[in-house]
Amino acid sequence: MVADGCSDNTPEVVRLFEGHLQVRLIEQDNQGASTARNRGATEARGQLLVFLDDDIEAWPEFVDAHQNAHQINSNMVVIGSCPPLLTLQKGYLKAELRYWWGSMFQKMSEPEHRFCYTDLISGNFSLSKKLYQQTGGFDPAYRCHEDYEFGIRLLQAGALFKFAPQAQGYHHEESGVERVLKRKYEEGITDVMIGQEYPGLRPTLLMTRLEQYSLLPSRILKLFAFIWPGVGDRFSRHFQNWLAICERIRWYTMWHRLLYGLMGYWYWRGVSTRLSNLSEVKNFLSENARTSQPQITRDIDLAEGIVNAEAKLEAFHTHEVNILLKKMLVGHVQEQPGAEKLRGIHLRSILARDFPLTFLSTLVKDPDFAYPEAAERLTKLCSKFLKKHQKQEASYSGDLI
Amino acid sequence: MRPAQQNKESSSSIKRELNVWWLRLFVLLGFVTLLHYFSWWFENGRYHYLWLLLLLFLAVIYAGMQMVSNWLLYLCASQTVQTQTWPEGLTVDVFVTAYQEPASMVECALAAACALRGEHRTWLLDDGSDRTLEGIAKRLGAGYLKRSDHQDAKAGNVNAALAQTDGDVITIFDTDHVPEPGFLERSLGYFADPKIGFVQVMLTFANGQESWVAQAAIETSLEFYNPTSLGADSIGGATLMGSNALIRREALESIGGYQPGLAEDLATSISLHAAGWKSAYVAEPLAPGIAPPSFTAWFVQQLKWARGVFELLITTYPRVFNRLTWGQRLSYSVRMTKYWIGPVVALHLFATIGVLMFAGPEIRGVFHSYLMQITPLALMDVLIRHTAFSLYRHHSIPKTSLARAVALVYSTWPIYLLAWAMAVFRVPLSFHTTPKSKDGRQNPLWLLPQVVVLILLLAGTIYTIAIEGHPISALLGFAILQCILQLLFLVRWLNSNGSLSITKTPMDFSKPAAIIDVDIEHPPDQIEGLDSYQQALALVRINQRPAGKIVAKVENGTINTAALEKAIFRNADLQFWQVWLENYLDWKPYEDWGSPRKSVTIAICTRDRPKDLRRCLESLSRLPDDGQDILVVDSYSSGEATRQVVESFPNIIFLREEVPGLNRARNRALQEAKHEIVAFTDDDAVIDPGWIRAILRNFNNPWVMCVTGLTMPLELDTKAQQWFEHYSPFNRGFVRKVFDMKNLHPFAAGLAGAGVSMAFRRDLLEEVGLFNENLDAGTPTRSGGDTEMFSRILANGFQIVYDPAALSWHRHRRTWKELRETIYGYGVGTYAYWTSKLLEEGEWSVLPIALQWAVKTQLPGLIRSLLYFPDSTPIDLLIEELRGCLAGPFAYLKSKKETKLLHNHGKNLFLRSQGEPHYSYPQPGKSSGKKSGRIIPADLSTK
Repeated sequence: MVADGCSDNTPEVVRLFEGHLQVRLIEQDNQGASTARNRGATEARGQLLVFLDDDIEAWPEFVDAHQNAHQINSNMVVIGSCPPLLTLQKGYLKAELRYWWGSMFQKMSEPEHRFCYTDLISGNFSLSKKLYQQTGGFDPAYRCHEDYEFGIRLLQAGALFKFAPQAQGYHHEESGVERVLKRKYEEGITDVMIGQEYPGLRPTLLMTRLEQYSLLPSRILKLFAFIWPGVGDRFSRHFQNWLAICERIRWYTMWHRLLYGLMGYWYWRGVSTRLSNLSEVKNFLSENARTSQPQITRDIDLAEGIVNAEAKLEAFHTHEVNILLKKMLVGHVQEQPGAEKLRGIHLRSILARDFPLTFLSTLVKDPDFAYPEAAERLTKLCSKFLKKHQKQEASYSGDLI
Repeated sequence: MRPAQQNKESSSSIKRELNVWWLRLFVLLGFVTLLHYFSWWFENGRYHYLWLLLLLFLAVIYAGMQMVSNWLLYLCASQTVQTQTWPEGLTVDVFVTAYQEPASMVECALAAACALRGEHRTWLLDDGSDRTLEGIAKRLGAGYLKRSDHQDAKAGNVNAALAQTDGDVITIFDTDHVPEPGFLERSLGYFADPKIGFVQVMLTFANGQESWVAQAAIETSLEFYNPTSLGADSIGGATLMGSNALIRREALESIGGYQPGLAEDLATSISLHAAGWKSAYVAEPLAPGIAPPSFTAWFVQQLKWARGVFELLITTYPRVFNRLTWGQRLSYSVRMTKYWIGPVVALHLFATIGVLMFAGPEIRGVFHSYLMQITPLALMDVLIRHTAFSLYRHHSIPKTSLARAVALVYSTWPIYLLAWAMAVFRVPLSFHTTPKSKDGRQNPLWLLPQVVVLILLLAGTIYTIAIEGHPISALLGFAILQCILQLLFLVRWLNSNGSLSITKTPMDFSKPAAIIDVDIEHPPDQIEGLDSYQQALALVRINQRPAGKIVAKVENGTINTAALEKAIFRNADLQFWQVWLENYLDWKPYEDWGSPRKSVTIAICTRDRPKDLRRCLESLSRLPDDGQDILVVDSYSSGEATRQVVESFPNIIFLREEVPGLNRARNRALQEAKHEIVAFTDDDAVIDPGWIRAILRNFNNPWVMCVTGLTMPLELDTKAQQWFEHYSPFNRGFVRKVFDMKNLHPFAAGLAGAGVSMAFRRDLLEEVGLFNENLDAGTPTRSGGDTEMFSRILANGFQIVYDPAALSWHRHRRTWKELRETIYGYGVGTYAYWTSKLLEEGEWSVLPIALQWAVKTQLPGLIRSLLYFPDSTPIDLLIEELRGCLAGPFAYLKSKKETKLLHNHGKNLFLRSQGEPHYSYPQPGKSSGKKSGRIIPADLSTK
């Protein structure tokens, strides 16, 4: 238990449990979460480190679940689930927070999920002490998203991420609107830091998405963030009041727009502390990815059987791959910056989720396809929906932030 | 023959004779109206106007040739039967002519041609030199013929084949016509008469279900292929129609082979007749084909035919007129003037517009009197055609009003006009085979003339009424009628954008359908024992997982599974393929999330349906034992029957609610349930053995608050059940979906599922509250309780999973009355629930949602029904729904008042029996055992 500059009765609370738990209290001056976690890790005696935040109420099988998940491989990073307990919030914000957390864990809970550095949640995760030492722990320079940054290095070191739904604890979420916005501000700062340290990851940052898809009101807010932050902050305060009004008159759509506009604004304010004007932002985003070396794309052919193809994909240890069926191209899996390398388990999901239409239309072309009577209609269906799909992809659906 | 049957036979033949007399009477009256119409022209001063002269010319040709000839043919019609048998030693070649049609279609026709009974050789005449077709022909054992040039299209193709074969009789099929095995036996007998040059078999079409156009196109041909052709045959004038024709080689060679041209069949026919050959017509549907399924296909076909026929009318027909018999002259005059309807319609349209917009009172009066004279003629013509059709239609052809045909032909006038102009000026038309597959895309330019005319007609009508102040008259009536016909057509067009997304299965709503369950990974050899059915709705599974549904044909109580499987794959939609793909990859997503197994309490709320309840409980007793327990909440049933049913099953908990209300019963179940998950089903449902496991595996994800499932019909024995399934199915597709507040608006939550199959995580209900007891069955609001709950779950940021693997079967309401009540109830429930949101929570955004529903779904549905679109909902159901919507808000207020009364007066209000009621009223929206907002899972809190 590391107390990072606590001024309240934390030590007394810890002392209450000394009889029942093997607990050691380390106290330090306030130096931030990264340093506190690093301190805890260095002091730890066990071989497995489980990081748990103070606002998470662990389930009884919590430790077992973490431990069991590590038995497969020593190179694992196990991420636990932490559904939020939203006792302080009310109304729209409560639902919104629940939705955010839900959709985040929803993705991870699929076994075929391709993990990305943004999946690492420092509040509830575990790794072996060895792996921790190899990768050097958290970077104290980061005040926020230190877990993302650590995630990048872990993935680069070849760590294997895993989600363990049973390693669960209720998260006493205390965010209000104020805190959500402050957090966005800090994320803005951190995103620039991440982008500077890892230029290849710039396409994955929120600002890339915002630059590309934002609508006019958000773009105006962005201008304010960079040019007249004083006026912008005053507007922001007003808008925060309007949030409550929107909620009172049950106008969810407007509330939603306002909140997301404000979040975008504060994010840009964060960015503006590091990149002082808009042209700098532009340059920052445009010089991405040049550093990454061109890779040779390798091929796997499904004609070898799906199990063999999976094994091959696992062995390739690569970021991108061409999937073929009897030498006909089914699809090209592109490199996803910041994501883990392709593993065998991803293959079926990629085929069924990302390339179902091209896969089906390739299957039809195969002379051994067992249902020739289906060919005509299926080909038509596939080409029709592919077109539709391409049209949809051109625009961004869902929330930007 | 038994006497009763004999009586029936003789009475029907008397009735028939009587109808023939009616027909004769109508034709007589028709002639009277015709004379009446012509008399208009001989009044004074008619010839001052040139356009009237033009009208006269067209009217004389049309009325004189088309109507009179047709009426005369009707009078001659009689149903004949082939008497001779296949002549000894007559050899037969069967030609299937193909030109760039889809291989599957060619294969179908060729296989059927090869399988014809009787000795014959089959040839595929491929004008497109397609390698695949060659392979198909070889595989089926048919001869394959191609040629180097493509001169003279089909005629050239047939002639080239004629030179390479030597059968005495050739039989020609287009690739879309699939002959029945007995085709040759039924038609070859006629060749015993050496004078017979050709025999034509009736053309019928089997794709009426495909689209409105296909159905209308078929109907345009019905009257011609039935009474008209029968009449022509009986006076020696049966004509050749291209496909389904048998021609004597000797006859064909005597006229120098098949005649080229756009209407090659008609040209050949007329030449054969002119050369003295006789013909015969077989009025039996022996080789159904494909009618043009889209507007484009219909236009191209009509343009080609009309262009060819007009040309023959002005070139060949006058030349050979002298060499034809009277019967043949009559018969050809009918066939060749068929497309005159186009110019006639066009001129009447233009005349109407002209008179509306420009004419003074004098011409207006003249035109008015003209309309008064033509109306009886038009009515008589319709009556005669209809009578003749119903008298002489083949028994396999369903009765229809021919209204669609009128609408379609009436609106095709620009095409006929164009064809007529092209024929007069000899503009060539490059040869196109009639497009036979529905490719969806249609060029709106085809539609321009109709749109322009419609606008002009409307403008003229408004001008006449508003500015001229003309009273409503026959003229305006005529204009409005024309508007409606054109508009009908345009609406059709807009509605016909080729839909490929959903497997449309042709269900015949007038006949009961069996329900079958087929797993294509383990198909039975044959499905038997469906003796009282002619069709079946099949749930198609792939390795247990539901993947789609299809309508299967039942023959002699059995379904051929090989054919069914083919049909499934031929018609499969993308949802099916998604499931298929996952199975092909042996990928089982969501199956293994590795969380500890939970257990479930199954709750059934019932009221006065002991029979259904028994069936439901029986199905539950067949579930694998996963530690579940079953709870039956009897919601204020009368009598003891319900209790007795429950007591006849072991280990079922029986609870009784002394106040009616489905949501009250559901809340009781939630409060009394033992396990963490509570799964609800209805008493009129039957549960599939995989239901529980499919539901539970979705709850392994802690973010899922509610799981809903797929519900299929348990029986489709009555029209009401069929319509329910069609109109408001519980089926939300065959692909698992995760709903949240961002992808499904909370006030459209009905899309997430229905109360017949839903399960909740009980503890999380503390977050969103219990069911709203003002809603659903047993209260004035009738339904909406489940949807309201889904809506709250979504609005709170939780997820709802729809998993089709959680399968149940629901017995829909059997009678039409019950169906109407149910639909009414849905309207009431939906609006009651929206009212509750609006009044209690100030959620005004239900208003735009309600508006959206009205504009996007209800109004178009109403218009579709009013215009009699195929498979549009019966209008009374829509009206019931609308009535329900109107009653909804009041029902909610009433229900709320009742609840309040109940709260104040307690149990006495609903007390029926003498026994002590066990009713305790929980506060709506609050849970009973409320400790804090904390969620503690049940299985943990006991540890």
